[in-house]
Amino acid sequence: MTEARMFVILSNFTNDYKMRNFKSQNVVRGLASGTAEAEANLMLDEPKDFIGFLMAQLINRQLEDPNLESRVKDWKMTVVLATDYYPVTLTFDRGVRFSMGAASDATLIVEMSFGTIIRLVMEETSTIKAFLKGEIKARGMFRHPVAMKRFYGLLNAALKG
Amino acid sequence: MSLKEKFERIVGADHVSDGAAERYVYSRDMTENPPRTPQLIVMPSTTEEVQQIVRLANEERVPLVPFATGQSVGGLTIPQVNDAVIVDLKRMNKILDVDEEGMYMVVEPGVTFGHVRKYLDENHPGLRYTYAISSPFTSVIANALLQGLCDLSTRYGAMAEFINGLEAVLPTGEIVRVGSAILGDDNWFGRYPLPDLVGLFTGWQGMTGIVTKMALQLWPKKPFTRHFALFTFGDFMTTDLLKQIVRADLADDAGALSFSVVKGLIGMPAPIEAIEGEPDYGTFLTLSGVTSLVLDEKVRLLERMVNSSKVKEPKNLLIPFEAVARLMSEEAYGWVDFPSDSFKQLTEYDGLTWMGTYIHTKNWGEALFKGRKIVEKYGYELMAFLKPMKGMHFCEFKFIIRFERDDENLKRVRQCNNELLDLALDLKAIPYKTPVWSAKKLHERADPNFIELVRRIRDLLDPHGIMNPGRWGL
Repeated sequence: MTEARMFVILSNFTNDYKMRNFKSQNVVRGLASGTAEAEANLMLDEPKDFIGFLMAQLINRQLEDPNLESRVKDWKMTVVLATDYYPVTLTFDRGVRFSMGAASDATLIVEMSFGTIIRLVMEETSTIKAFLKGEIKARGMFRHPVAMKRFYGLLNAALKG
Repeated sequence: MSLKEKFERIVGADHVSDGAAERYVYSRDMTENPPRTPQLIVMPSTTEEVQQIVRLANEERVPLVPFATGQSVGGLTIPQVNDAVIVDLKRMNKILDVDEEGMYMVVEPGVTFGHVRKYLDENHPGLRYTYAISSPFTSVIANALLQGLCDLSTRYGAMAEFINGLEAVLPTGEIVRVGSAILGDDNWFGRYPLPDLVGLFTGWQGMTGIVTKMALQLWPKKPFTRHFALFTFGDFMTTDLLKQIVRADLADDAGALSFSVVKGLIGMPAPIEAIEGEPDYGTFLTLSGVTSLVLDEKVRLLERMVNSSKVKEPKNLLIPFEAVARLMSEEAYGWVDFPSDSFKQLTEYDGLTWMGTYIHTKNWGEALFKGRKIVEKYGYELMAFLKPMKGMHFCEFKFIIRFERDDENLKRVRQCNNELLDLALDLKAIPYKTPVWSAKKLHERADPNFIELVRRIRDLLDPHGIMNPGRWGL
């Protein structure tokens, strides 16, 4: 796949999520909400590490949007977010669970430094630019393009609030 | 007439109590220091009432323990002898004067950091005071007398440095002033050139009298300010980088926290673990300038210093506070605007203690490195607070422990603090806001002539030994 083609595809994904993005001031809530059990499970799984806790809060804000929440509940994939601090694994399976370390059976492995995360939040760069500059690397995206589209869009929306 | 009735004649019946509930509350704090129940609590509202209380205490040989707002963590208002009377000063809560031109305020002991912030914002918006690393209910005078630190300590040192002068009731009942206001009111501009007798009251933990007024310096607000979070790795690398930043006079404030405290600030519930791979410290930096150009240049220099540090540690990261707020929520601005309240995480349990010191700059990194090993050995959360002081002339570090107050924990906390203090004294650090056990350890290592001089001065000022007897191990 050429860089140009990747850019177009990723741009579409980003715009798609921008359209659906739903801003919320709430911080932490149930991911797979709908049942008391689901809420309780989330609390048990609350990450004890910085990256996991932060990402959980950011993603939870996005999942305030019931449409997005309902779609995410149907996702089934495992994503390793490999930062320069340490990797965390996000398991999407009727909600999202965070765990420290890199799952060996990851659908996707997305590499980026915490500094890149900050630059994205500050909108000093975009996910597209960061990807093209090699500041974000993804393994598994050609084998799992749908998973890539989903995670990429969710991450983009989460970091931009 | 009973002692209670005599005090009631001075301050009124509504302001004296020997009730079991009040005596219990004043007998303890959150620390591991053992409680002791006072016989009475009296609450004066004027300097003259304080004077009458002290005179009565001399006649009756009753020990007095001054108490401002009770926010200290160090057992500092727990009586050290039986049958003490607590003199609670919180009714004396007036801001008596703000001198715009001389940039100082005159306050009573019940005035808190919260009071000052509100009053200045509403009446003197061009001036600012400071805040302590404690609740907004903390007494401004108490923190200054105890030589505590604040968000201006990185530039100006311990809070006692901010005192222009004070009024006190001596243990023998005389009312005295020290500083330039010996020539009258409206003249609290400074302490020099005079014998500097402010030192008769600072660091004495209430053994030399009861301070009833204090003049404290204020500062003009800088029109351009920016805040940053700095994530760093390693005790020595962190302190080395902070030394560079502060020596270059870039930061108004640099408050570094163990990363566990940062995680607490973003809402992580207790107990908080230090995870391998995470930064070791998060430092909140405040930069300011009289023009945006000055500020921008400071920011550029700061970025250059942090980038240089990446040669040794590529993961060091300077984060604009705008990013922190977007990641964590707008509430994050409260951490740097008036952050006292953000430290409420420290009261997660019913127990809270710390061992804090001022230390030579050369020993700062070693103290942190070895101190964290001690805290980890005892299995407590790693909650170090550190601050470069007075333009890097000296440093502060403390290890805070929040704990559940069961017997086992109380014993373990005492052991842990003891080891931390031994480490600090080995490195010639001076513990501050010392509980009695800590002061006694300091005495063992200090120049005996200094301790004897302290004793003589105390005996000279307080011949009947009524002011906070037993305090500071004397």
